[in-house]
Amino acid sequence: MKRKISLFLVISLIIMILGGCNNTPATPTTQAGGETTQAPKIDYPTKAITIICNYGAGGGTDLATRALAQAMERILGQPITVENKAGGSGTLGIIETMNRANDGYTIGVLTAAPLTIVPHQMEVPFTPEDFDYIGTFGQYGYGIAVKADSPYQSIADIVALAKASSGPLAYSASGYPQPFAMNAIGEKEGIEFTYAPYASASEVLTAVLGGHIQVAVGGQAEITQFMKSGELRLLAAAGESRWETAPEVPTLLELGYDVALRSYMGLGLPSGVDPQIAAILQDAFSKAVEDEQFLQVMRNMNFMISYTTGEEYKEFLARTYVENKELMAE
Amino acid sequence: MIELLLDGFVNVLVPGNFIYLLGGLILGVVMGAIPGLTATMAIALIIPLTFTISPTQSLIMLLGAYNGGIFGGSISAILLATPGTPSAAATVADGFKLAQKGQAGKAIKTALISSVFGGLFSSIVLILVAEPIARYALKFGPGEFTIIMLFSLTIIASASGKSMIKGLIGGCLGLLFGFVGMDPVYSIPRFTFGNVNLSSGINLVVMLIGSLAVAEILIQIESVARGRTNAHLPPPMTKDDDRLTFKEFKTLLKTLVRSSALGCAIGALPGLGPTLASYVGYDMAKRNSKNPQKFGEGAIEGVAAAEAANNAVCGANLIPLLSLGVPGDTVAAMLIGAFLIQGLTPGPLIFREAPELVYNIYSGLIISNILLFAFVMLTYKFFTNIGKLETTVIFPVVCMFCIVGVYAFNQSLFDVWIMLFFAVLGYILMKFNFPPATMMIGFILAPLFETNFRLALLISNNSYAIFFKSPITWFFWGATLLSIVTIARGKIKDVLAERAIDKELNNI
Repeated sequence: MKRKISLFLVISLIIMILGGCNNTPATPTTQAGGETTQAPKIDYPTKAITIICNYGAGGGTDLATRALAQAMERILGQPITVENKAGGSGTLGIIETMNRANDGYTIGVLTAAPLTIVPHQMEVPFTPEDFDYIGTFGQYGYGIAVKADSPYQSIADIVALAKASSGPLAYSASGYPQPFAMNAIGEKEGIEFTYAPYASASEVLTAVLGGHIQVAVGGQAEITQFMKSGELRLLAAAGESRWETAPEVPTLLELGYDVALRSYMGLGLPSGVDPQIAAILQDAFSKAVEDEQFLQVMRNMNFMISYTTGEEYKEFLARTYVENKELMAE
Repeated sequence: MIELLLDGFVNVLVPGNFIYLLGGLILGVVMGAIPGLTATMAIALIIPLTFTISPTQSLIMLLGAYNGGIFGGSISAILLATPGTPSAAATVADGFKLAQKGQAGKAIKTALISSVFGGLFSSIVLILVAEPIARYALKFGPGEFTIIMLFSLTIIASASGKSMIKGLIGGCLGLLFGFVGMDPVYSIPRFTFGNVNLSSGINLVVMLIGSLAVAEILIQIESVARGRTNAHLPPPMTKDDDRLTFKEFKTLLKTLVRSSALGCAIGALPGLGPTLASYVGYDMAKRNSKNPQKFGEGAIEGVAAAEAANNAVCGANLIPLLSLGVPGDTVAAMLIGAFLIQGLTPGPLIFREAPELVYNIYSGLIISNILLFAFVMLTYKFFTNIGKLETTVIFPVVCMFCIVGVYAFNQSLFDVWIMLFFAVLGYILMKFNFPPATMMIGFILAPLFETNFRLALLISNNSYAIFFKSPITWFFWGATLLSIVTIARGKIKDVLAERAIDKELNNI
């Protein structure tokens, strides 16, 4: 009997640990020196901090977030746990962040697409105005790619292919904003494309590798992986600048198409957090994005590192929110 | 190659590496066995720990956890009628029936040997012929997948058991629940009643735990209310009840090879995953069995078929991953992340960049299967002892695990309510003798069928020719027809036999 009881105890203990019990006993930080304080200086952080990631565990955003959390942990001296709240095209994690206490102990991963695009597709209870932003740490890059052994060498070839085919040419992508790139090309050239939506970034490229689809608008991380192995050819970068991993390939802007897809991974807080706490977090964040181990993980994952401040990010989101509303209404 | 493989064995067996494999494996088995905590979750938990260890340590630990997790699910499936991990759902039917007859030991050993067989089989396929298989798998596009799904839908009919109507109703219910969430093409929410929590659909884990595990708990509560409060499972009557004899193993051999091959094929195809593999493996074993009526009543063949198939997926998942860099399912996608973190690019390059790592992975896979066998043989008594506890003790604990596990899955209380909804539904279905498997199969197939069907038509500009254009589609059209004909013939035979009996009764 004893053994069984101990089995249950062990298992329930494991569950507790795995179940996201984040109340790791906080050791009070003893600050040496400067005891004679003037204004009531805030003592933060005194316990564990939670970061809510709006995508699933093990994915690209999650791994980048965890690397960042480890770096911030070293700077703030308190444990940081990452909680995954995936679903609703990335909106569930954002709603969760909004509903948590604004005591500074809950930080949310606030990515651009669920904040500025998804609200125009379905009813969500938030706008970009509902958060205080800490800043961005990564950028999702996009590009247009074809199979390496296909005859298409440039966007002009794709345009010619689309003009020659009997119906609209299909391309694969995994959700907005990717289709905006093809829409811009189609508009200028007077051709039509069909958006074939795949569930994940890797399926988008698998469809092209298998020859089922000719063109893909994919993520930089995934396309780079297949460019290294010689399976895919990048025809154009879809962002503002060329890719570091493929500096010889032009951007759509350079080719004369008026489109630059931008999407970020950022951190933010439920609005109304004490400004002193927000300042401490912003300071720790700006140091963490220069942490060597974090940078290494980002580079290895083929992610673009992009540091902007909370102010800049907020401004970007507000602007894109309005722009996308018009684009999605078309 | 043999030399490289031997080097791999040596590298994996170095204590500094071996400890990671063992740790991953044990964590996998334990998490796999706990309802709600799946093999996928074990992998997701481990990956952030691999930021600072060597590539070999990282990958053998992850593969150990995956292998262990997929097997671990069968332990709770057999002992508690609760699939610890979704891919063990098909094991519940026969595994739990065996346990109720006092043959829990036999069932676990069958599951173990089948898992190890499936795992080793797919490892060998991976080592020998990965590249051509992966290239061939890429030829499967939306058109081909649509027809495969059509064929898979016929499994619902053969899983229906006695009443075809009830089976089809179950299947349709599953299809209906599978449609909840975002429309895969237009990204418009469907059947969500305006609730954001439903916009990404119902999770398979949540649904399985509710409709299989918690529903079983409700059935047990009912029997306790009727005054039955004895030990959960009867003890083994004879020595044979606790082991798998060599004679039995020989009869299983054909099933094991068939299921392992199916598991390999499904693992190599992107997007399908181990749960579907175990259902297909189970169904194929049933159709080819001499005693199909025994399936669902405690056939070791059933356990073997499901478990060999799902563990074969583990190794086979690496076929497209290592040779092309294409992930086969969610777990494989996470493994790609693990490679990237190490600064390695999975795909053909890795054979040039880090050949020794590839062979370490091969050896790690083989050793993890052997280790799984040894670990479970040493500890299974510990698990089967659970059966000696009274139902009134064990089921409240299981119920707690289900709730905590489902909550932990996505830190969502909403999921717990969904689980309870399916518990009540599952209970009603069980009470009215609806075969629960049909609902699961419908649920798994619904999104796969719909997405591929609509993608195929988008790509082809609404031309139905895409469903007939390649030999692969013809093959699966043929298989679908054959499947329907054999099912119809079996049904007609049953009806005729019943009529003959009726006639005889009337004559008397």
